[in-house]
Amino acid sequence: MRILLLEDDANTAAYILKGLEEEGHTVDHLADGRDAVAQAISENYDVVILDRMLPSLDGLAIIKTIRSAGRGVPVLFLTALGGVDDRVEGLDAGADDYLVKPFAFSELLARVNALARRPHTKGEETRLKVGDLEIDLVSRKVTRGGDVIDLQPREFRLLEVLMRNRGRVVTRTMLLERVWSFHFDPKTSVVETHISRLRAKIDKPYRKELIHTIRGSGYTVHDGS
Amino acid sequence: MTVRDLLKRTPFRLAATFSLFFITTILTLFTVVYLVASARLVADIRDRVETTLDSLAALDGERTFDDLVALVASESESVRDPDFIMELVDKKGNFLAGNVRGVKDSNQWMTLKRSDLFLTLDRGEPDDEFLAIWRPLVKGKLLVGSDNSEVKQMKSFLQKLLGYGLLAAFLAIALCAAYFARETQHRIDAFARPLARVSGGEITARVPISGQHDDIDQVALQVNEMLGDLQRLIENVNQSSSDIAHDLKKPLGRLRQRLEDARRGAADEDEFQAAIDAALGDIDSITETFDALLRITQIEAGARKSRFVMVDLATVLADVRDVYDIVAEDAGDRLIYTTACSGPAQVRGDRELLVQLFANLVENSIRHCPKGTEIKLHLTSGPGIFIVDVTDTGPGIPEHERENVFRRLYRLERERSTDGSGLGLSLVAAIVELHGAKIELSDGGPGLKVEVKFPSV
Repeated sequence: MRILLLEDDANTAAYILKGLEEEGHTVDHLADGRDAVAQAISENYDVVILDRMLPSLDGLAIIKTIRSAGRGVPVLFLTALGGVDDRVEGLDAGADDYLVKPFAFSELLARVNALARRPHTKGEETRLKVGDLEIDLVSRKVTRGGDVIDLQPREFRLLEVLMRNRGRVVTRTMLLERVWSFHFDPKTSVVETHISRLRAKIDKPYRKELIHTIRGSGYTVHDGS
Repeated sequence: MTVRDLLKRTPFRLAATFSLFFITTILTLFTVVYLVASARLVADIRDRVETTLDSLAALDGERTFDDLVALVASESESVRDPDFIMELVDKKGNFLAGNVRGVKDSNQWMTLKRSDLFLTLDRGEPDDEFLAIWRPLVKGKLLVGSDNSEVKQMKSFLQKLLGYGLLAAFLAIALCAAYFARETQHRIDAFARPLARVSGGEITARVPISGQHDDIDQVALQVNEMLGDLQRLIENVNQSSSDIAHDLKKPLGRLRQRLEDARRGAADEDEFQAAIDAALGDIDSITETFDALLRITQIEAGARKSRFVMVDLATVLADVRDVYDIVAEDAGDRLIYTTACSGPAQVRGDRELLVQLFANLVENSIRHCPKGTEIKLHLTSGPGIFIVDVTDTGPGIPEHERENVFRRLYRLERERSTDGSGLGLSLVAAIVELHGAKIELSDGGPGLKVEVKFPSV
């Protein structure tokens, strides 16, 4: 993946750069807002990672400029502010996802991966398949190995988010945000509980597990082959 | 105090303005009195002149004209210091009788000065004035005039009165103004001194109350109330800052210990890895505390209000139930949601925050109550309000701690050892406040009852 990283703090930039390159991505790093706008518009990137506070140009202004130039490249917004309003402002300006500093690298990686292919899937997929598990987003039907599995709406929603990101890690925070619109960290095991209920229906009765726990990161759905 | 300073003082300016107004009023009043009275006097004099003319003109005629001449002559001679002047002339203007001669001809009322007249008998003051008019007769013309001195006397009397009156009024005003200015200045100074001390850092200083219950006392009371609020706020901020510092020192100390232990004595790679994971966990919990504090501050700042929309409390509570009923079940508890409202319960608010509000309350019950607790979410409506009760059958909160639990970083004595930032209920309180709602903790008999009252739309 080609990634553009706009980050003025040298330490943070080096840390992200190193991590992403280890994952096999090509990363261009810029520290100045003005150069960044030109670069983001003229080059073809898969993802832009953008710091909220940049010298010479505010992160929000950069997103708006990129969007008004007609570039739909997915933008991940990094912010040290972490307030509720900053998130909404960023998303309103046209960012696709946001992440509050300090963050775990696995969280950043999961979000970059989730963003990467999203806008290029022309035409919404309506049938998602992993191994012998298949879900239909229109009829909201779930089948595994030909068996129809009856899911509650909340279980379906959780499975849908996992399936849309099949093969990729979905972090606990991403699940909280996307399944329940929780933008805070619950003090109880909300995610674990719901995942275990889903597993009881999707995985337990079958020989092969499809929902995998990635320790310290999150969950992923894949058939292991 | 220089004159410039004096001019800037409010009491002085008030006194000066008031005096100016007062003096203008007196002057206007005197002018009106003078105009009305003098007009009245002039009318009286003219009446007198006309009456005399009428009675004399009765003798006008071919046969009685000589009698008229004789009468005018005798009348004018009988008057030594004349109040009246008279002149009778024939058709050609020759003097026939009277005590003045050669008065100019006019058919209007004239004001004649004694010094300008040629008087046959003259004993009065030279600047006495007469009000006179000619009347045409068959065989000549008759002038009669009357002394105008009454008008002059009244004028000079009024002028004197005005002069003394103004002087007296001015003195009285000056004394009063000086007195009030001094009094007010004293009280203003008494006001300014403690305020200067507050600015200097002595936050406990208060403005004195005179006990007169006047406007200055009212302001003083309000200022003192404000200073009291300010003091509490400052104490709160100080308290929070030291609470935060304490709260962060504990995990930071733990973090340091872990890292030191790992450097000194990690036996192998795995132990090293475990120490690092634990350290990361500590950092996450510190970050979480910071995030929660930031979130509370931002909610309290109220900017989110601009994003308020209509939210149905019933669906918020149903969503919270859908997330947490199985969490409660796994913890050995039971979560149920009931509503006494038939329709939606619309309030103006922020859905995300309202979900967090009830999620926090439910999580508190799950975490702090023993297994087998029943947690109830119940929605009812009252006149103009919607009430959400969150009750549990757990240990409750002792009455004397109920107010404290909304304080930042406060933890119940029995919870000291468990994790938790001590910010959950502060966040709840901030969200409640933002929505213009009220929250009350009471005894659930047994357990805790949290009642949140929202104004309905």
